[in-house]
Amino acid sequence: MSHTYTSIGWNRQKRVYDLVMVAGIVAFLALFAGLGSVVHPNATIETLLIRGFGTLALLMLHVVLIIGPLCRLSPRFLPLLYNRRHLGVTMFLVALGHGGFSIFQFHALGELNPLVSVFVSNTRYSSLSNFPFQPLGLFALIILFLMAATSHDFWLANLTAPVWKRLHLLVYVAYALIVAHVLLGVLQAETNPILAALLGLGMALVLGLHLVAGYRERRLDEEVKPKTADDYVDVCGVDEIPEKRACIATLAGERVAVFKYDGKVSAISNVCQHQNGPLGEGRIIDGCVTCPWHGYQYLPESGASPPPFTEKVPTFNVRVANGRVLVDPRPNKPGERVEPTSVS
Amino acid sequence: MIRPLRVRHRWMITLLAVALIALFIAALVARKPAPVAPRIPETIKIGRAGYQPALPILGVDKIGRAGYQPAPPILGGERR
Repeated sequence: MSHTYTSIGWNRQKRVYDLVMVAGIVAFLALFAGLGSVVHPNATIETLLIRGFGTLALLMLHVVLIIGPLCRLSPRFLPLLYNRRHLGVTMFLVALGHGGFSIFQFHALGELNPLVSVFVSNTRYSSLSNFPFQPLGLFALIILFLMAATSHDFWLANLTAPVWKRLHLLVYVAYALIVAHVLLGVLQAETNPILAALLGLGMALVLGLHLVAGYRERRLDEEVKPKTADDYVDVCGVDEIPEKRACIATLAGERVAVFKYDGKVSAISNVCQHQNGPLGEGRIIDGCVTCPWHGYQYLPESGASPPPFTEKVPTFNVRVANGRVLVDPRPNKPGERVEPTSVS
Repeated sequence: MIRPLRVRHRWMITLLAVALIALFIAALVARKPAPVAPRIPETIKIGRAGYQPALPILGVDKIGRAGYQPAPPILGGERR
């Protein structure tokens, strides 16, 4: 939530996170170069760094990608999500190290422009084992650059969350390009089965977790709730909602979060205005619905962020009958106040 | 996340899974076998005086004639 512009809202947690991350990167590269020089004594330091940066970027991309589905499957992983963008931007810088060193080492010493050389030095597109894998990595790097450059909330606010999310879904295209870059590049030369097995394991983890989380989300989307005569939807029992938490239901194709707090219930859209996070998986803190992803807050009765913040989400009319919570699926305007319904 | 985006996300992941698994298998199948170590004649490898390497097995000569008997190897070893 930013009512004034600050480049990064630093806090202690973010500083510690970044320090640990940088220390981890330095340790990984030192270990990789040290072990590499023992196992391959003829390898130059440039070669070891190219491989070290590449391996680390691939590892970090896998971590970045599994955080999302892990959080969908269990809220225990939510703390990992808070600084995911820092991890993503750092991963881009590490990948840039790999790409930069590679282009310098393999393409900068000829007469051609190094970037042109990446595309014309190998044109065996019809061969799988000799496929020009370097352009795949370069395309992935361009996507990662676009994502890193627009990762700040400034761009999120200007592009709007849906456009920003569409742009950032390109990470899956980048992932496919990078996996192809590795499979058709280093794994064609290095025939050690452990390397292929590790990549297969990473792919299985990323794809498997996404598919399982997607299957669960789909079930929630397709759930049909009973309706009353005036088109209100029976969402759940009052007793089923824990205090200061919500029950989520899909009404007219969109998700609604019904919160119970202080003997009352209120319903707002489940979609946070920041990054479209699931508000219904958050809880009420200091009287505000708090998004579990990045802590954006909304008043449950109006769907508006407390002043001075300006974000607003739609509200829904609610009533309670026979211990059941009934919600009108037609949304009110974002920020429109609806008197909370007493559960007694 | 809003619904059309969720649905697109699911489709994208499904397509990605199928494409990447196919590519993974194809790339590993297309991989060239690991290069074997070059065969070094026993006489050079051992190099001790009086060493008699095993007689080569009857093979095929350079132009494909079976039953080719290469000349018996010369006693290997260092020249004194």
